[in-house]
Amino acid sequence: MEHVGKIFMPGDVLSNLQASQKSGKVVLGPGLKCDNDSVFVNKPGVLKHKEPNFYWIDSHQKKYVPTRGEHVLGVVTNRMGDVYRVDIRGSEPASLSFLSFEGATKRNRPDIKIGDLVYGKLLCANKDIEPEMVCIDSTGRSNGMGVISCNGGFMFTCSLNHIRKILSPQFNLLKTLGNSLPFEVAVGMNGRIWVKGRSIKETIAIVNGLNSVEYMDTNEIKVMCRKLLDTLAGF
Amino acid sequence: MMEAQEKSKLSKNVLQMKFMRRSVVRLDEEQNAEEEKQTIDDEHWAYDIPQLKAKESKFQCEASYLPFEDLVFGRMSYKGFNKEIEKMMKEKNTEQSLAEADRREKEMAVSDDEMAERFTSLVGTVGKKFAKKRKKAEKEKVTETPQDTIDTVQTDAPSKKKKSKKKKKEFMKPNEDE
Amino acid sequence: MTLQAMKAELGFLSRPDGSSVLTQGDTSVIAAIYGPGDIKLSREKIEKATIDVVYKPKSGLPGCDEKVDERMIRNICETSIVGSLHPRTAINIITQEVQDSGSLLSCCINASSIALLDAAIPQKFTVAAVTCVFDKDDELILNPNLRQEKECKAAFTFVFESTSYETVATTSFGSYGKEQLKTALAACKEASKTLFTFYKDLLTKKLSKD
Repeated sequence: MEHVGKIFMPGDVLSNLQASQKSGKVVLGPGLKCDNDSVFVNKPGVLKHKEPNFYWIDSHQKKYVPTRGEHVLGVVTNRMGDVYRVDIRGSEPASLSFLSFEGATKRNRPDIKIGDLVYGKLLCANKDIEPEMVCIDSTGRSNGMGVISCNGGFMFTCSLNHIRKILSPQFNLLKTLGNSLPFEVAVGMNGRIWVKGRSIKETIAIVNGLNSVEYMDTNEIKVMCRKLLDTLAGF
Repeated sequence: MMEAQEKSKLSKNVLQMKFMRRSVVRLDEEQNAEEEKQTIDDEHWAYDIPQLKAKESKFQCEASYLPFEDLVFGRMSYKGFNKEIEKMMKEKNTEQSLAEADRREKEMAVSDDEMAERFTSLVGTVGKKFAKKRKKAEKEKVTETPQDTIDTVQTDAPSKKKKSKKKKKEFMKPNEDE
Repeated sequence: MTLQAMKAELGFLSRPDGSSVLTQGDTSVIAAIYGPGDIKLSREKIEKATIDVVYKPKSGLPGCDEKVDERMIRNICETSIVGSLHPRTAINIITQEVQDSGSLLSCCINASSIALLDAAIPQKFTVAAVTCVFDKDDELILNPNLRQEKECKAAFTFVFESTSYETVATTSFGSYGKEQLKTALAACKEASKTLFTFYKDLLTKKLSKD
């Protein structure tokens, strides 16, 4: 507990982890590895803790390693019969069946071209096999996933820790900008962000905003946001 | 064998006829028997050794950040840019606030277990109170049915309640020590 | 005995997944990491990551000596990286010589180690290398410069790991006695500890930004 918030290096051993009272288990997240009865750190970063028994290392990383259940933004690179190859910035492309779209049947194929952006969830991501992506949830509804309208918008990449910052509930840049600008974003856990505003100028402004806030805190973001909006309005 | 082959060659339409009913049943049975044999054969190939038990570990590993950080859904739209997404965001927000409210309520409210726990200790004291009242009531009113008198002798909870209700409905002030 | 001043920067290059520039004394090296990434089918290993190291000299093509160094760095990284977490992928490590003023190999190893930390590649431990020489008066010099390297009787490079400071790799040159080896090892082990604190300080600086 006294370790929480400190920086750890690969090879460090953790002890005194707080287990859940019910099951007596400790949940170890990214960057931590258990070997018999000791816990090792294998990525450099800050140790974080969430009640009751969650521990993980918050590390700064650029390369994406596909993980099951994460929402990713992929680019369709190829089509092989019934499946599409989708680049999700992992070590190998993910496969995406044309049937895993809302309302798709054998007859009624989704309209997807090579180069399209798709927002989907990783159904299966194992280190030993090719990741599989789907654009529907378990009830068969798209739920915000699927092909992202390809006309317009801008896609860029950033580090994975920045993505997690953007997706955290405390992140206020998008909400603040959203109070005065109509726009749309799609943020993938694989380090890709797609932004579309009313005009190219506004899109660029939002992209610049998102890029510059990686190391800012909430107040700094607020100030930056106001400046950005003022500039856009022509002051 | 030859016969069976011949039979299987009979068309569906012929087999559906009334006079063919019996042969259809027999054919079915034959097929079932064959399938059963097949399953036995499958079992034959299974290992007959006890299952390997994985060593129970104190630790559970999770590869994703999802269970750790409460991340929001990655598609967002503002000021009606994409109506569909905006609607979904609103739904998710209300869902979240509902869940939050639910959680808070659960924290505030008394759980069934706690309630039961508390009442087991209360039953005795409250019961005594009623017992006293009952005795008084018995002295005042002797015009009771015999069955009721038996009940009062036994002094069990439900009958007490019934009686108290019968007597008068009075507001019972809750304990203030909570 | 202490090492000369060190300077390093994490995330020095924008394109790679992890990078660093390390200056030890006057020797400077840039290291970059790509991966775990795509790999040619013929080179993939089914149970672990394939680690590739490329060493680029300041000018010209890498010769035989450089190839030996490359191989040594690769073997060191292979022991530190948990390759089994990323089977059938490639982890590429590129080290570029910027300035060689002696102790180049240890500088390369340390720069790669820092770059691996920047890329957050899963590792069992971090490594740190220290070079030392015995000059003609049998005087021990840590991280020697080019002239000292040329005039020495014997030169050693030791690589240590961060958990129990055990030797991971070693290479030596020249003639030396058993006792000399012992003193050199002890001195380098002590010096490696400063390197590990240096690494941690670098990471602290990087992670405190947000």
